[in-house]
Amino acid sequence: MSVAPDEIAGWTLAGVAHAIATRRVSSREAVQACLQRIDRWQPHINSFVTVLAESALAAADRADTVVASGRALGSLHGVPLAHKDMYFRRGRVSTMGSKAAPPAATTTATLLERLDHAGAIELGTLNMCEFALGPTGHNEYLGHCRNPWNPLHVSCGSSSGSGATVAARLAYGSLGSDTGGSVRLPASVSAVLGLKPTYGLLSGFGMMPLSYSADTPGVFARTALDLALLLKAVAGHDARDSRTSHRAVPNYPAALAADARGMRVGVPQAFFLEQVTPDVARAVEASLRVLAGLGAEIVPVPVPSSEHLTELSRVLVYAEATAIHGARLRERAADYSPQVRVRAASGLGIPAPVYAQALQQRPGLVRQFVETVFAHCDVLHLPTLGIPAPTIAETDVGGAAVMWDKIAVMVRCTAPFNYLGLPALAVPCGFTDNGLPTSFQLAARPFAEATLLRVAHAYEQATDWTRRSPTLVSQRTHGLTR
Amino acid sequence: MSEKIDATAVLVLARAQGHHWVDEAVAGRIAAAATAAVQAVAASLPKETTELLSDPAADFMATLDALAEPAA
Repeated sequence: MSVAPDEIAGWTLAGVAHAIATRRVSSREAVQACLQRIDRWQPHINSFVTVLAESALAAADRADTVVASGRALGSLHGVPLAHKDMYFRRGRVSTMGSKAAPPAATTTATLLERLDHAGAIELGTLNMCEFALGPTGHNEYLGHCRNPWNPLHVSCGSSSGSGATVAARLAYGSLGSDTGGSVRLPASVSAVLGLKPTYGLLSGFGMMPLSYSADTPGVFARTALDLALLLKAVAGHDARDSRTSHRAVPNYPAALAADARGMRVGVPQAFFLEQVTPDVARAVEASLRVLAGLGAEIVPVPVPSSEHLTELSRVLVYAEATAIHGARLRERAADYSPQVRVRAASGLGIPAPVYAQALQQRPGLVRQFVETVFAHCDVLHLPTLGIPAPTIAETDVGGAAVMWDKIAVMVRCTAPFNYLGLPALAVPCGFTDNGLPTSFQLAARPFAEATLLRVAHAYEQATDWTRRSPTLVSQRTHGLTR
Repeated sequence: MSEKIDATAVLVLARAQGHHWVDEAVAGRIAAAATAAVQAVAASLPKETTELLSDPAADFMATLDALAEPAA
């Protein structure tokens, strides 16, 4: 008996991969199910830049031929994914969300190659903040990506299309990038999981650079198991990216077999729980009670002074972004939107010794943070975004001076982990008073992604937040549909 | 430290690097952001001077590896 397309699109990545491998559905049916939803949702949320329907269907047919042949299948065989439009594929233009995009790429990103090798199918490219510079999801060139739960609200960014697409069940997973919160923030306001791995776990080769020191490829999915499958497919050393670690890649899906019993979940005693609105705090605190009920030990933990970490991160990102954008800014400044132009040029105000000092202090500060915090706990539990997802209008500040304050509020709990290079995961935990999703964030020691996923998996077994999905009916109530 | 980075200095530096599109208003916004960032770095500087030659990027990677969760 055939399965309805919306039911297929609603399955998890692990579920559809199993269904394809066991011939319950074909890869073509999975791709068609996603394409049908993209047709319906795209006019309302604008999460795609390009839909690669023809090539995706052709790839699905090839995948189905392999299934029929009985040959060994990759872990993501026939599964439709879509990625932030900044992962290069040879011969294709990546817009990077900008009118000032470079010409077609001459090489393919390592992570795309690894997903290809695992059998995944690329459905299209996704909206993003221009050059990944912005936490809200605004894009004056491509049009703003809108929140699938309420299109009057931001999707957050910079991986705006990734969060919205996975939440709306238009693809089963997505690659984004996280330089200050750009995976965790969109995941948080979309009710999906978003992982910023340890600096050096994933290759950045063939990914648009913003900051050599802070850029981290990241992954979106609807469940911890889905994230584990994606991470296992893409993680590991890459000779083309000298920043990548030589450590062996753990079996992330296998790590989920353990539950949360005995895990020490740390609650920071400073900084991260300040400036959090009551509705976000309620949801985050409730998630702690769930974890306690699962047998985790909730422990208060001291946190080193973290006030400066966001600014230290900003020094690295802006100095390096201005260096990267220098030639393009000189030649094509008018092709940048006003806010992005100013942000891309902010390194002009950072003296070279200050940049060098921000780099120089990094090893000592991460050592201090890890030794202080993770002596007491296995994972640190904190908010991802301390405020409810704002509206697009509230955050539509262009290049005005107030822009810096808006950005600082949004990245307060996320950017420190980019400076520290530590892994951090956004896990959906409810809704704020305005009806938009929110999440808690888990951080851990370097390369402890398996531990993060284990705790998240246990939590999602006891709650239903990741099983809830936005509907087009809710879109109509906001008066934005035709 | 309460000194602010001078927007005029930012403007001069921008022009010297060929960024002729930067005007006084843009320079002012860049200076405001840079002031907060520079002050944060100044406030977090260690008391001692580093005496050993090192590569911060390589040290950072080695530190992450050393602080990693022990293999299961």
